[in-house]
Amino acid sequence: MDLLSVEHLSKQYKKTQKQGGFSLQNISFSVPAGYICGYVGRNGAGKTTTLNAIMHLVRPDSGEVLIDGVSFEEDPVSYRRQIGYVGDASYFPKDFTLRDIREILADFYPSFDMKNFDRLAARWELPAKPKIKTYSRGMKVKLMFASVLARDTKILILDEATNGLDPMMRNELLAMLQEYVEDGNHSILFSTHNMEDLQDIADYIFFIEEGRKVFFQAKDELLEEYLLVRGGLSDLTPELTGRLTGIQKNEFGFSALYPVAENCVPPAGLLSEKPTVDEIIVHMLRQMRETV
Amino acid sequence: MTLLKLLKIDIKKARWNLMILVTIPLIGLAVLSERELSWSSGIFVTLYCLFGGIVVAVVPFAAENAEEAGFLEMLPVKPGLSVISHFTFSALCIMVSGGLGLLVGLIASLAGSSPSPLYPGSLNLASLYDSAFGVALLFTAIECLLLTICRYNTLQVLQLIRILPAFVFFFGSTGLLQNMETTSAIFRILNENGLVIFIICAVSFAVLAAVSRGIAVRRGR
Repeated sequence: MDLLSVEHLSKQYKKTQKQGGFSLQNISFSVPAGYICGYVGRNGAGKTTTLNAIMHLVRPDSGEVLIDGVSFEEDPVSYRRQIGYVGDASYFPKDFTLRDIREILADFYPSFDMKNFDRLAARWELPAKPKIKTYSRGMKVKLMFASVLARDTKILILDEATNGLDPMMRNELLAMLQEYVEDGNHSILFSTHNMEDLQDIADYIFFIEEGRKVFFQAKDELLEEYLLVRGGLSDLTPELTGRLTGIQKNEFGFSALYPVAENCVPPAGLLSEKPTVDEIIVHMLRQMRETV
Repeated sequence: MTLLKLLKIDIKKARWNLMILVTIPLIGLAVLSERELSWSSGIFVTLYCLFGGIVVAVVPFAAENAEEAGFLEMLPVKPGLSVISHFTFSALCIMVSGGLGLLVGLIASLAGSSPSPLYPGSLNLASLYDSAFGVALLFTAIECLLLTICRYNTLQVLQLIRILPAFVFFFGSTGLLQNMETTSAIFRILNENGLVIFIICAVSFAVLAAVSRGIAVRRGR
């Protein structure tokens, strides 16, 4: 069962389009219950626009988003109750306090667990009285997480949410996110630049570039599809070059992705290893840039 | 019920600004206690209170910017309801500011204000108050509509929309009172048809609220 289903989502920004700018083009993917999907791409690739369209903070020109089978148009209240969103910047009114936020959450979300919220706030040392504008960036991120983890949601939408967190907190959060999906009834869509996060917890990777889908694949399958090969520049024969993806040359040699297919092994003399998600993305971007 | 919860948020957003609504009548009372009272003293204070009311009435709209609106926009409510909440808040501000102004006016009249010798006809203070409340409501509704349309605009535009109607209302109405002889026709209409003016303005307020809600629903907010 898909908890998040995005169908043919398109959005064009007229102002920037005139300047040869950005549009989101026919994005489709789904995230099944119990899984974490990493949503990756460069700055301006369309990640935040997609997430904002899912959150209904921007209106798409076409396409549909379903949360647990329900669209915003069918039932906006239920749609929004099912989502927990954590952005890269605090979205709380800056003059509000933690107490104000707690009161509002209790008013609007029947599943909001005040004790759990207080427990998280105490654990993360979030003061109740000061205005949110006096919080550090990390504290604001923690407050956003406390506000979504203290109520029952079906899916978490995270937009660069681990930015600004210290390594301890980041590890704690990643563990909490894994715990969140463990029961098989919740999912996470996680947009990030930090590929380490995805390497650790993502089950699927959606890669977007210039508003278009490059691939949407299970992470393990993706990692099995390529080898990262390294060799000297003299090893780069025309035949080998044709097979490689995203060749990166330097004074010592080259590195590139080598597609792993049946009966297809890298030529002798090349060093090969399993790539990370980060390395796959970087080499693919290089390939795309060279193709353009 | 959801509307009341949204209204609570609007009050939270404007809590410091709400002090203005209480401060202005107190200043008015202090000023009146030190001056010779005339029939128009009370209504001048009421107009000043309504001026404050118009400024404060749109704080929930003007307090929002693109970065901070997220949390409130993500709340599970039907599209358009938050705009209705903002309009309700504005109407409450006008009621409270006008009510407090009226109270000061009553205190002034008890202290000995008398009808104006300048105006030839019979003076209907209740009608003037009705007119003032009605026009203040209408000005607030126009502000709210403009802020619905110009959402997330530059700070300067927001401040202009927020302040300009209040100043037009205050200086327009006090100018009218001070120049009754030259503007007697307008003054007579206000003096004789206060209730009708109030009803027309209240209906216009409701219509503009519905239009703003429609705009918000179309935007999915």
